[in-house]
Amino acid sequence: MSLSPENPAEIKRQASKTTRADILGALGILPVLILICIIFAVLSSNFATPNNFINVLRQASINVVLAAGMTFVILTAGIDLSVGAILGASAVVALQVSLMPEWGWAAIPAGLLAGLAFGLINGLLIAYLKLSPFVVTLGAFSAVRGAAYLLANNGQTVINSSLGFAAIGNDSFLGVPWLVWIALLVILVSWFILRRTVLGVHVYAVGGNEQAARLTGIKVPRVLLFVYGFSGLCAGLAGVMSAARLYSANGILGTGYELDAIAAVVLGGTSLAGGIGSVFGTTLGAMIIAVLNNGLTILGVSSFWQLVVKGVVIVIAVAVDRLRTARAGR
Amino acid sequence: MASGDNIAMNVLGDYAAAGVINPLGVGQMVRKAIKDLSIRVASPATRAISLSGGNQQKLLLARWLAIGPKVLILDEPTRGVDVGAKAEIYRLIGELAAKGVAVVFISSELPEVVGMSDRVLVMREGHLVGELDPARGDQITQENIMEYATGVKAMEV
Repeated sequence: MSLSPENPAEIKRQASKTTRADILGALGILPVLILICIIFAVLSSNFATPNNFINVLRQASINVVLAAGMTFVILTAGIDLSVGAILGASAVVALQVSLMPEWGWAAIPAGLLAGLAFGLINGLLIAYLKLSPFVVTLGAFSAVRGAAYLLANNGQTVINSSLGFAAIGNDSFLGVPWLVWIALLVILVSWFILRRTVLGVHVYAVGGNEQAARLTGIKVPRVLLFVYGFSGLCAGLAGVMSAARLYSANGILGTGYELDAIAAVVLGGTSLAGGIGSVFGTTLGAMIIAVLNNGLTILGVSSFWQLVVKGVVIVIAVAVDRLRTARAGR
Repeated sequence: MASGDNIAMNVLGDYAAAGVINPLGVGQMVRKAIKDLSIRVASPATRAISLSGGNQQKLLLARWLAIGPKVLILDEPTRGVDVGAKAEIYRLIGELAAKGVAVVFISSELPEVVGMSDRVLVMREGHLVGELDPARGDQITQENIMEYATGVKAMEV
């Protein structure tokens, strides 16, 4: 390999190598996604249509946003079980604010801030009280869910039929739903933070070896506070997206979503042990889940069998990926 | 994590504006370090954990050399390193010392202590028990070090 720093083209080529390694690493699961798509396309003529493609993207969008935030958390070898609950609470907050006569404009910021605040509370407890992420976010899973019901006038469904930001959930731009554009933006921002900022490198460093990261002078608690805050913010955004889609929100919104987000991250090749993974992989993982949900529904498979198939595919896909990477000697 | 990120870890701030890294600047610095220390790595994207022990040590050396230190404390820098890479690490340390970097070299391998040191301090059970300084007429030999290390001889206070 030539190592001439004088040649700008060479420098550029090599600088993009990390990025390409990212994409190649994420490719691991792409064949599975393609295979699943082919199977559905063969089994049903309604699957491989432009309209349905847009449908799948829209169905994936909220999980993509949650899973992007989850990727940061899992890269630090943590876990965030509270994103579904935060989604619910943020959606309710956004809806409630949208109903206030003078404050309707603040609905989106309020939803985002609610998510960020819950995430930062998780982060503070994990980073500074050194509590285990599993325990803290399990607590938030329950407490924030309760808060969501309470905020929704004690378990009602909050409805706003003239919701100011409903366009986000239901309109399109250039033929692509706004929900999908938002998810795309979140992916790009996440990639940029992880691969092009000092903070992002620190996220990987903390996940790779927390002790070594600390000895290198990285302020580990600040990195942890950031990742849980970011995950909360993503959940808040996902809450706003859900509320916009439904014109309504209630305490039960987002139940179980944390598991789909975690599944997307793991399918995408991010190691639960931390330090390895990419947001591109997560995106593919979320696509696999969305395609499964969509395709099985089109085929008329009962929702009980859908759950079984989804679970089995997740485990098989990850197992295949592990075998493949083990053989490649990565 | 990637070898390149490992090397650049301590100086990322120098190649970043408002926290955003300039990948070309970092890439150049990393490739220069890899060349200077002849670290055998396929590309800066190769994960550090997949490198041999010697190359991992050199990677770590590169990481700290990047900050341009005046004092470098190396604790067993050749542990788990094959003979060829050891020689290269010795050569690097020699070059650094020649450039005026103060190197504190901690090792329990006597041959390398004798070979590398301009001055030797001997520790025994957590205490400083002897000093060998050629400037004062001492000879740095394994025997002299062992005399202090085993307690046969004590430092005159």
